[in-house]
Amino acid sequence: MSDTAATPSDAEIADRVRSAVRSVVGSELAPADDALELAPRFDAYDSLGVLDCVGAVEREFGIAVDLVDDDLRTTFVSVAAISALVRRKLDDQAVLGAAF
Amino acid sequence: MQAPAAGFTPYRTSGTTGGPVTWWRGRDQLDAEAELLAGLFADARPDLVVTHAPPEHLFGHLMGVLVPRLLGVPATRLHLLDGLPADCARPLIAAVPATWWALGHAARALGRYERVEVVHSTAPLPERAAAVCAAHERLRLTELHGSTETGLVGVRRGGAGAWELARDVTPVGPWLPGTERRLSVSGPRLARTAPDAALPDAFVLDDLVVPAGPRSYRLVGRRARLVKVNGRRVNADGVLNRLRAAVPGCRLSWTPVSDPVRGEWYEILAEDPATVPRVAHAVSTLLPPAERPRRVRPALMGDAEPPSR
Repeated sequence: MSDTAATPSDAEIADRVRSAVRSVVGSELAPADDALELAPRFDAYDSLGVLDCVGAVEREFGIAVDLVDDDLRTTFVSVAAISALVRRKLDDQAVLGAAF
Repeated sequence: MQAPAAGFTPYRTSGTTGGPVTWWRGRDQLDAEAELLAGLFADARPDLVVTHAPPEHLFGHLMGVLVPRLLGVPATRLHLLDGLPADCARPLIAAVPATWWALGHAARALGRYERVEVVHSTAPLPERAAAVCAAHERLRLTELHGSTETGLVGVRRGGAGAWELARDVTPVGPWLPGTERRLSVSGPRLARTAPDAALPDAFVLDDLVVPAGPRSYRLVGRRARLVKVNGRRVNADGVLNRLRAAVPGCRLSWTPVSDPVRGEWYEILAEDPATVPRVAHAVSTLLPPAERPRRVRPALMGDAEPPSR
């Protein structure tokens, strides 16, 4: 059994991450800005806003983020960083799913 | 923050009906407050106090400085985005509502501790707290009820049941079991409105309680039109007044909402949907982030009304 085909592409992940972040910051996000840090650009992306964003990303992708293991200060700093975390989590889920 | 008068410490809080108010506490009052709290946790033998509460607030000052000193243990203020410390076995965690979100996302770290004491103050427990407590049998929850004005009023263990009045707190007025009333208390730790002001005879809290016994009570609600966003009081009526002045002609109200991170939050409702963009713009330009609503939206039939004045 392989779940590889079911996992979204990097572009789809980035799209969905942008949508999740937009629900928190209330502004449109351009793909060209994916690597930019979010906190300096959006007032709403303070520490509570980051926690909101974690919840939105968890719901969107069905993944679980761990405050200790996943180091929110680096993994939720930008759309690109969040997307990389999501990619890793989904890949891990696919491998675990394939193992059982 | 105002310059402290000799022997007194100021704590600023949103007023229940108007702007911010500064309350003053004497050193002896703070010492008494800290001794009461330290006594609640001494048997747990914590080896580190971890606090998410800001030190400029009474709860944060007590749990970040004075209580650790009495317990003889170090203290650390942790940012919400940081993980839990690994160099301790029995942390005492001073929680704000968002702490429960953090604890719910740190299951493995919590599981490594020998014992965890969580002391929650400043606001009702968020929904997530029950699941966190249920998932960690070595976690003990203590809730503190009180305010900047009164200091500690009551304590509850385990997240359910009645609250017990702190030993130096006296209820004022009729105390009839089963009868709802606003909680009015007297005691030696009430704050003063100025360093040279007399100790108040009593203070009436916003909370509605039902006495359950001679020195116990159940919390049943809150009277004032306030919302506590991550434990911080926000006077939503004051917010509305600022927005109405900025967007002439708009008709606004607000409604409290529960929030998985902040515990409580609020939404602003515009009677005319066409005014929503202008009000939202005023929110983003006029209000500091900590006071902003979750969103501005058109009012709908069936929207809950906040408690009346």
